[in-house]
Amino acid sequence: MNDSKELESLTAIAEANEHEAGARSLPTVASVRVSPRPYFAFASVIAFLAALLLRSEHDAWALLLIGVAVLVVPVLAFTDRIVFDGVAIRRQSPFFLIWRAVFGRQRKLALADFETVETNAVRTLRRRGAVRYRYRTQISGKGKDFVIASGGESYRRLIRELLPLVHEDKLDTRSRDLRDYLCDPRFVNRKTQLSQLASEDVLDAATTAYRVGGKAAAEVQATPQDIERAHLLRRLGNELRVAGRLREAGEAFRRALNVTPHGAWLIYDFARLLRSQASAQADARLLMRAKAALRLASIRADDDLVLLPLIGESFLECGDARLARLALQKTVDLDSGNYKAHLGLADLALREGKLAHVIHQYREAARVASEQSLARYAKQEGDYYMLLNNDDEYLASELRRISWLQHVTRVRRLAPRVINLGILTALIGSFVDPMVSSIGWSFASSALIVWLLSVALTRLLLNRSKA
Amino acid sequence: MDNLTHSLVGLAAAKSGLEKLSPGATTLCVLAANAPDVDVVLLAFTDRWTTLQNHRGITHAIVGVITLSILLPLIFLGVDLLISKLKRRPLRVKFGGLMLASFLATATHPFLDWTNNYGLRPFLPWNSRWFYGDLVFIVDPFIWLLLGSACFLLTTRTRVQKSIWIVIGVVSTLLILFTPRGGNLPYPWLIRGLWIAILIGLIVLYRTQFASLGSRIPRAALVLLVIYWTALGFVHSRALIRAREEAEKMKSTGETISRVVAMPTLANPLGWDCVFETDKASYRFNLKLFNDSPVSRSVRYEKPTGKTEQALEAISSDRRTKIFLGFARFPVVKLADPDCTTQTLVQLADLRYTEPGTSRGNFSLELPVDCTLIGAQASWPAR
Repeated sequence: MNDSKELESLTAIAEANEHEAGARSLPTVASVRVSPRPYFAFASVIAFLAALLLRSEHDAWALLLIGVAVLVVPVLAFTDRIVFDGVAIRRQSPFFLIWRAVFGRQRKLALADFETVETNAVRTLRRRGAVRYRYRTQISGKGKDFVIASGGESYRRLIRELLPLVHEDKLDTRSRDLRDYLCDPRFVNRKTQLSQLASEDVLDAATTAYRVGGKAAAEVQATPQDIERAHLLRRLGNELRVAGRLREAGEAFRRALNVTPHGAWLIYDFARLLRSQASAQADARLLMRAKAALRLASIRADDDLVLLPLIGESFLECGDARLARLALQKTVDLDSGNYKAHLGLADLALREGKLAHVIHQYREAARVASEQSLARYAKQEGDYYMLLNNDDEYLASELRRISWLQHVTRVRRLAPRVINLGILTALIGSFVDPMVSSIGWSFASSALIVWLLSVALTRLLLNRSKA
Repeated sequence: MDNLTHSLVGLAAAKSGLEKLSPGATTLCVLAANAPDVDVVLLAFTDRWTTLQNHRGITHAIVGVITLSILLPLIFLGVDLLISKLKRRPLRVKFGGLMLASFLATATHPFLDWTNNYGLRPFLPWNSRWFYGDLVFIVDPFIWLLLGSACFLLTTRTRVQKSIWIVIGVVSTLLILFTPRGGNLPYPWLIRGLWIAILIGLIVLYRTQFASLGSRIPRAALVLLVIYWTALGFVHSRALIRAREEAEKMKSTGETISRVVAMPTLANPLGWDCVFETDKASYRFNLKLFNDSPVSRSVRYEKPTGKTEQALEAISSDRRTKIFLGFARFPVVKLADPDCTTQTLVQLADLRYTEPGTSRGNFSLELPVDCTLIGAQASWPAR
């Protein structure tokens, strides 16, 4: 009895300490501004309402709303940041300050609680052999999500400070790339100059035929200096690839491959470049070559337990489930405790609709996970798919939820176009006929309501339903 | 239109095929066809002037109709989700089907209301202009018969349904046979006889399994409804031509006609209430088509000048006046006692429905004005 009381009091003290530590704000290591898109959307809705109020002669209210849209919302957008203090990330903005004051809760996620870190790349501009990437990194854990959008030095600093502290198994391949190769553009420029890579103009005119591996190349004996140079070129190639300078990255890899054509990591990185190029140029042949290079990398990788699951993941990205399975299965055969390989195999099984395999792989992943958050994530996923497997009603409701989510997403994407078209009609109509203008405004308003509803529905439908 | 007509249209649309889109679609169609009239809820919380200002307002506009047509299926879905959780049964409704049914049924409401002379404002909140169809009287027994017959034949199966139809049949028959409004019908005995004959015919058809024709019955009824509207449209155009001719004869010398309207009357496609406006006055008269007899019950109200204009100016800031003038299509005004010494009444009316000094709901307004105020120059408020 005394022991249990003592244990309870110790737990309470530990919780209190933890709470106190949580409440104490540590100095900021790095911070990045949250994507202002939701704020812009909010400001647009407010501006629309203000126009409506102006038209219905409620000038004071309209002025108030315009003030909010023009002054308050930009301030909120400007001050809303994701802050990393070395231990956790948290949202920091006047809104969340009030939230914390009212509800006593803070939007915060400790490094140890990270479950997945996934990065998406969006091409925003394409110019000759270069593309401009916008990265969107989503950090999830304990049911919380933090989204960091790329842009400027603050993002690079946050990535540089944060990702190296995150467990390898939590990062996807793109996040790994960012962690290892995201650099200041000036720094990349300097390195490119020092490496004496040809300029983009020259590379544009040059043929881009590569020769990877081969018997002839195998006979070349590389000196230690050459190998070091190849290593530097590989690093530069990856930095250029992450920066979107794909043609120059290709040239760096070509030079590196001339020196060490059998390096599995080099071939893997080169395959990822080919995939980026294939995606940027919508070229199926390049994608085939990327797959071929990945296959070669998997052969050269031998028993490399770090590289093999990455190759499997890359195969999955290329849409080749068979080769992905081979690479991942090989990893599991060599080391049954490879978390990432189990996750990859679960993903593959899910694509094939084999729920029992999915559950098994997640269970295995939970068993071999080296961190509590990883085990929690894998267990949650495994439990979810087990419920889907065992309960037909739950499966039907989840399928319906996903189907609705797809419909709502389509509506959410269509509505802004109708709003824009409505406003355009209204503006043109005001010069032609007030009736046309009214029709335009009516459709724009209706589409705005539909958009707001679809946003709310998306929020509801995104979360998995509870059993 | 009245809510019985809206319900019948919703039910007929459901029975025409929309009911197959999802379980619950029939109920949804009936509710959706009435949904824009949700604005009458205001009557419970506000005064009649606020109701007048908002009735056939935003809920009858494009924005409101689209919003309501989305909200109703969401409510249905929510209820079904709740029931499915409680009873541990799978979800029954199909959301896409409900959305489509809801959109079509809700859209019928403003269209039907537009056919009346009450009008609606489809572009609210951006434009508060009223639009009037002037085709169908606000209550039309022919539409009741047409759609009611189709719905009766298809939806009289259970005891509850039979009871509902008996109630509807009895109430509508009482309205037509015994109320004073029914007595005002043209050829009342002919219409009453026809009504009873059709009711008996319906019961016979019901007994002879005519309902086995299924969805073809309401479809035919809806097609007949469109034909009826088209015919009314044609008759309305003839009435307008006649009304213009009569207006030319009726107006005083030197007046210029600015607008003429012909509005439907209860259950009489050949009788039209006509109103026209000149630069100096508003006129109203009854017109009978295919009848060479002169127009009957003509009245003339001059535009406010002198004391009437000043009296109107005095009450123009009153909230009720503003709302009334925003609603009235042909506002006319007179003073109860033009030679008053202390206080008199300013009598406003919408010539569509009534005349000044005749109390009729929201369609007329009487406000006291101090006779000492009638002295300053003023003008007719701009609409």
